[in-house]
Amino acid sequence: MVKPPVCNPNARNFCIIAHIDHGKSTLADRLLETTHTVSSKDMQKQVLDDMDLERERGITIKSHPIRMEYSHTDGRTYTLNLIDTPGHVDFTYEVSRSLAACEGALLLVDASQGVEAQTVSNAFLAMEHDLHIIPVINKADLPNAMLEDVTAQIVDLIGCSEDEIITASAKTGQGVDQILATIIDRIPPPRGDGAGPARALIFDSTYDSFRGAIAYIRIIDGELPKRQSASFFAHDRDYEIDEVGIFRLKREPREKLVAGDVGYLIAGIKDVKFLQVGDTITLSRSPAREPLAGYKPIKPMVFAGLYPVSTDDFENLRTSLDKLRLNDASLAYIPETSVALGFGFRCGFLGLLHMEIIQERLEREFNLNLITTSPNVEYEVVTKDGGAITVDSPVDMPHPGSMQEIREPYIAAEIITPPEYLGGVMKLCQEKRGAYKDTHYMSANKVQLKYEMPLAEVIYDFFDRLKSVSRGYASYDYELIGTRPGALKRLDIMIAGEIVDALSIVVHTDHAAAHGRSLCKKLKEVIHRQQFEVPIQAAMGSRIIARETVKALRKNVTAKCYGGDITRKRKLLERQKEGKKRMKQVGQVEIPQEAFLSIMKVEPGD
Amino acid sequence: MPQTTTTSGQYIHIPFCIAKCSYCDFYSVTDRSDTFDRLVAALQVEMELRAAAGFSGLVDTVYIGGGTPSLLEPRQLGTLIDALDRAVGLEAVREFTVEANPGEAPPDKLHGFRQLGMNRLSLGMQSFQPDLLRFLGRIHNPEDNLRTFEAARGAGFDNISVDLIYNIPGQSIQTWTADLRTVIGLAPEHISAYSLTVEKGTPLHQAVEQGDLSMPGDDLDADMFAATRDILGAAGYRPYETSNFARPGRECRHNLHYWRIEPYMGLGPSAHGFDGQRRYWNMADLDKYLDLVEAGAIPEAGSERLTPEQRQNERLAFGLRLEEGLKIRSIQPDMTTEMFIERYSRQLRKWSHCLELSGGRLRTTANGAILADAIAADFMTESAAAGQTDD
Ligand SMILES: Nc1nc2c(ncn2[C@@H]2O[C@H](COP(=O)(O)OP(=O)(O)O)[C@@H](O)[C@H]2O)c(=O)[nH]1
Ligand code: SF4
Repeated sequence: MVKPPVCNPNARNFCIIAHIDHGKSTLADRLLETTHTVSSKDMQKQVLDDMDLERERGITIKSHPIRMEYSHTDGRTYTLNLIDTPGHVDFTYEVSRSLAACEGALLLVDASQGVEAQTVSNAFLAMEHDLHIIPVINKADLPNAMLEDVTAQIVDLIGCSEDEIITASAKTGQGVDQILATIIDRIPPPRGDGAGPARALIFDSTYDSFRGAIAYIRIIDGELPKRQSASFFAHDRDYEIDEVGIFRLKREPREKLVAGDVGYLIAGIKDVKFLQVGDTITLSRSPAREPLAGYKPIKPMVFAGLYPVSTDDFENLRTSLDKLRLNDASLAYIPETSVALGFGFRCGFLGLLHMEIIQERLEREFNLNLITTSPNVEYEVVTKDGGAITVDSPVDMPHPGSMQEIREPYIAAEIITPPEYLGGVMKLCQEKRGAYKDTHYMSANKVQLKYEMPLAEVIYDFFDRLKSVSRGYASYDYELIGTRPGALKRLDIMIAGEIVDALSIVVHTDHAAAHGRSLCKKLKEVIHRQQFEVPIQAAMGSRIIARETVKALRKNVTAKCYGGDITRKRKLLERQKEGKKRMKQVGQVEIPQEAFLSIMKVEPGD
Repeated sequence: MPQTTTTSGQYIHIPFCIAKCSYCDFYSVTDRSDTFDRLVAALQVEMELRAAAGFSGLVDTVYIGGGTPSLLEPRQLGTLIDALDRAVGLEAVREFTVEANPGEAPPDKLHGFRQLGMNRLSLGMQSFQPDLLRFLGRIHNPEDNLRTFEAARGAGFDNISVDLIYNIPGQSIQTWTADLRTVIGLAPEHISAYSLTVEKGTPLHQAVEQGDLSMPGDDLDADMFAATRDILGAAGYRPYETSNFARPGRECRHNLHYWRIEPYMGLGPSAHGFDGQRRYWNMADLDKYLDLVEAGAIPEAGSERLTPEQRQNERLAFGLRLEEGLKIRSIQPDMTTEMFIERYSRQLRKWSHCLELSGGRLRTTANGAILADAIAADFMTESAAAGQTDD
């Protein structure tokens, strides 16, 4: 491949890739400080993560690019654009688009932890994008730093030479100048054709209630001046560009952006869905003929029903989802009705973390009280008459008799663990229907394991289980590798003889009986005694595979109630009443919220 | 303000006991006989303060409870009664109860109480099994039960109530029914039979929490509840409230004030009161109580003015505990039976085998009494909605 011409020799576009907690945000802060982009006085820790949730969870959800100036030892001043990348597998596609906006990457590895799963997956992504990788061992100041071992792991991973690896501490500042100098010396200046028809890559977007949707872009070819009409490859609408600019701590307007620049574009766009990550922006007047490579529409991977606890909140939930979607084009939802839960939405998420974040934001920022049904993947069903349908809710599974085959999404999982936990990890993967592929020793105390597994098996509690079998040492990452047929069946839960649609799940036939049993047991614990005996049954088709019984309520009356007890007693009953309002009535039976939550936590054999 | 036709109760709390029982969460202290006179003086001040603040309703019942009021001397109680008469007027009082513990109320004291005009005695017998009495932390024995009962009759009490407890760890249904038969043999006018409840902050609670002890469980509790109704019913005691049984006409009028959501003035540490609109509760701390009152302040720890919704909830919660049931018009003055059926149709259907609706009243049936709380909480889900539209 012929490399396109260099367009801005004094600019460097790079990102930092790392496993979670290896110090990405801390290093970013240090870089901003060292380049005087932020004065130490204003230095708010981890300036780049400005959403509360991100702070708490310590992960970056939205990228926040920033531009720095650095005077190099060669006497010239360089412009450095740091593009922060999301740090979670759910957002792999966004990561890949951020990488596509760069020419180089700092690969940061914690000196006390060594290479972890996301180090590996991110390093591979960076190599796929042909980025120049600068390996950095961070936290060298820690007394338990294992410099030698970690060096061996990095060499094994990216095939660099030992002396290319920078030893640094984002905490003490050790190695930070060397990192900046190396960025300039080793990362190539932006590639692109400054004179060609304009092409800009959208690598992220955000929503501003005053300005509308804002695209984060990297100009690859040509230039984007304001007041021109911009067109997009992913849809047919054109928009007049109101403003373009670069990122300091805040947005800074410019007359135009040119090839090599990283910046933003505002064009009176009301909806982020017109700013699809990976899409190419060009100018309507003299459009480029080909879009940039790599665009794909974002597809949700994990689905769940979201229902307001109080039915009055349905409209509220809709407007809240609408608001969240303004900033998150990957969130998909359509109204859905459940016999048990009433009106709600079937939502599609990029992954489980994405789902948890959305759920948490709805509850926190919009004050909603929600019931989430058990998450599931999207199934492809081939019917006997040769048709194919996709099913993203267990309730929609067609009758078994009409199905030829069910296909489910598969992932290639890569797990990194100290060798002593290998046995436990392998046992877990097997239990999760994993097919063993490969083992590779990265260094004396790091083994890399590869498995192919159904996505459905990892969206429950795989991560927690992995952490517990490895005392927290194993890490994992995955990528989707397509769909495969599986012996899958729908498992229904009947309470007092009625199917509770919101509790149905799709399971593998081998796990069905055990799963059914533990579900029934769990439900027995959370469904309180009713006036009548309540049978809880798990059924596959018409076959009952497990059963438990909640005994009838025999006594529920306070013994002593006198003058001093009236207020207390009333309050007690009022609390009971509030609890009742939060329950869902299915037939004669009141089912508490925990029932719907507990189903997510259940594993066969529990 | 309550209308003048309303009758009200008068409650005085005497927070002293000789020893603390393991299950008891009433406010009471031990070893404070030095404070008896101080308390009597403070109670007089409190009743004057409350009467001056305007607490109306014709007083027709007085109840001196505790704690153990029988620890006070008739002289001290006499002072209180005179003061009460001056403050609120006792000419309309028809029922005047004092609580006493077996073994702690000698015949001369009981005579003294009768002389003061007390006409009803409530005896905390609790059990006739020595081991169970010990478990409960009671300091009397079964013989004390009999002796004190005889002494009370001898002193002229012709209206005696006996307290008993079931659902005690270690108690069998046989020993419980034997206790019931013993009491029936004594022929008191009134019997209170309580299921032992584990209350926070008691030694019993701690033992259960720590797993040192387990309660008999729902099934046995329910069996004992049913046996109690059968046996006492057969002996002519009507279950006019969840835990209270009486010969016809001998129901406790004072307690009925509570259950019918009528006014009562409460005096003394931890006492609660209700003037028809507002509920208050006094400091549950003897020294704080004394300090406040002696400084001329109302010794309240808190109070609440009932919203229409709360009032409805109280009527539901307590009405369903009574054999007479809940007067539908008490929920809302203009409510007809038809309106009631419409508003509560879901609950009425759900609990149809536990409820009976007639004569403008809703009552629990024999099946329903044991589930009264669950039923009330269910009905409250409707009154909440209705309460909102009322505003
Ligand atoms: N001792 C030491 N701690 C560090 C260093 N860099 C980061 N940390 C700490 O490691 C933790 C994770 O860092 P953070 O920057 O949030 O990681 P991120 O998840 O990769 O963004 C924080 O507690 C940091 O204070 C370092 O060089 N030395
Ligand atoms: S049960 Fe009665 S005697 Fe026992 S501590 Fe409580 S108030 Fe005192």
